[in-house]
Amino acid sequence: MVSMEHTAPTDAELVAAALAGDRAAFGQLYDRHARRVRAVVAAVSGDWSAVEDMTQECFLRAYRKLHMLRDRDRVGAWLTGFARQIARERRRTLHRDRHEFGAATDDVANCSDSPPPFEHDQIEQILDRVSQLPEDERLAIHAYFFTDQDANAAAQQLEISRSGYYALLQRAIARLAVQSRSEATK
Amino acid sequence: MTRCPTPEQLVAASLGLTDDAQVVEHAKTCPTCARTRAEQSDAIERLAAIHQQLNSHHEAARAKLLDRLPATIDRHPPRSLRRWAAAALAAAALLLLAFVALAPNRLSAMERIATAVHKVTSLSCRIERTTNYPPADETPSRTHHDERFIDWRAPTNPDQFGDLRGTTTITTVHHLPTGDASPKPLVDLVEIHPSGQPGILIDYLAQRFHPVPPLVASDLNSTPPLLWLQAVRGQAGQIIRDLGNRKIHGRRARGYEMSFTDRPEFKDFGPVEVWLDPETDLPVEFRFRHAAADDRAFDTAWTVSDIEWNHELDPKLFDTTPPAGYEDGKLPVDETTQSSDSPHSGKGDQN
Repeated sequence: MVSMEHTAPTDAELVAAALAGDRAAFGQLYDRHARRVRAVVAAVSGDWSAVEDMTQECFLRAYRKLHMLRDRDRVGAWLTGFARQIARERRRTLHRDRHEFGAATDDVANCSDSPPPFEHDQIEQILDRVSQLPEDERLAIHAYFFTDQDANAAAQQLEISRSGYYALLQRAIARLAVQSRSEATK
Repeated sequence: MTRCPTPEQLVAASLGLTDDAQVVEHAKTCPTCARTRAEQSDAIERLAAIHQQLNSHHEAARAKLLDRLPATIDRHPPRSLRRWAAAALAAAALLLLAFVALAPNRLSAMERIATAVHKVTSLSCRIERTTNYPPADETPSRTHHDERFIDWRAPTNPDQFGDLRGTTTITTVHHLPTGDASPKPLVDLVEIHPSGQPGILIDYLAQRFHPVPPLVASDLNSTPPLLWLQAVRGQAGQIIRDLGNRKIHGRRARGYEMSFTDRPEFKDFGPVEVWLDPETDLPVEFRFRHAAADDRAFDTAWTVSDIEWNHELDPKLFDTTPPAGYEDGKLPVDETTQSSDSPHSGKGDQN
């Protein structure tokens, strides 16, 4: 009996296909790595309202420079580099222009028909608390929740050991809860 | 389990990261732990919901991205790159010859830095300054924090300082016995100095602006990365220690400790820690500290990060037109901030 087992293409194969003009292959790379990119841009920029815009920008920049990628199996790490750069630019611009311009709007994030799960101020409150955590803990949180609460997948995406990742995540959530208590006490 | 588990252990139990039955059982019966766990669960639930909301747009975002992709992808290096590649090959051959002939006189790290710095056309970065004051008499210890973002464009006239824009926010945190550590905003301003011309200082808290004279050398004393840049351009400084390699924001960087004892404007600083991108020989991060002094009752450190070199800066950044509705007037002088309310006002809060 002939095995019909389907093997998912590797990142390197998807990169090669995208370079050959297969846009769907680039879409598959987006499916694989968008969550990691979202986590990085959210953690580094601290600007939740622009996460999807920054993610789009990251993949667009990567697409334009795809021919320059040397190690095609490392496309995830390569995208992370773009994500960090874009998020740092965003953080700087946001601070510099905060009096000149309003907050960025995100047409993708706003296109949902479903109502937000929490009130706006509740969302602001929790994001504000997250923004006060150290960057590595912010990244741990965003990676965990963007990978649908799969701690092992998040550790893998961030390329850190599972035990190291667990410790970061536990510390971050414990801190958030303490902040919440101290705010409630006030 | 008689002792309460740590908050981290409780998180692990809530997230299913541990199978320690004792922790779970304890949390069920201990009111304190049950409350902590409830607070943690609340945070987890909220975070899950907002992340899920963004993830739920994945398909729409993917379709949007594919629509925005350029029609064709350039699989060849750009023409300019090819031209450069040919030139680079020729240069590499020459360099190899030079290397063989002059091996004992290879460029030192300091020379490489100086060469790279001389070619710098612009700089944008974030400067964080933290000053810790120990408790004194009845005053509790406090931390003074300011954050500044600067954009600088190299001058065309070497006698000038170039265009400079600095936005500054200053907060203090009082570590009171009650545990109150709320940051208190003190200053929120932008200072714009077009090269060789009068500038403007805009105070967003007071909603006022104030014209300021053109920059002079001493104005740069509290803007350490520019001070460093000017010094290295002026052939000053020496490397006193190699700090080895480290990853900064996921990129490999080589660290050096530099001393500027030959420059009077560095008299208040200790050795400067500089982390360089090995590909460009330009800093990706700096760390400055005040030089140790026995009579100093506080400790100040600067960290310069989010550095971007040689990029195009929008000329509008250096436009000195005051915001509509703002009053022309002197800045209010506050006791707490009078020595640090300007990005170029010296060494900061020393009251």
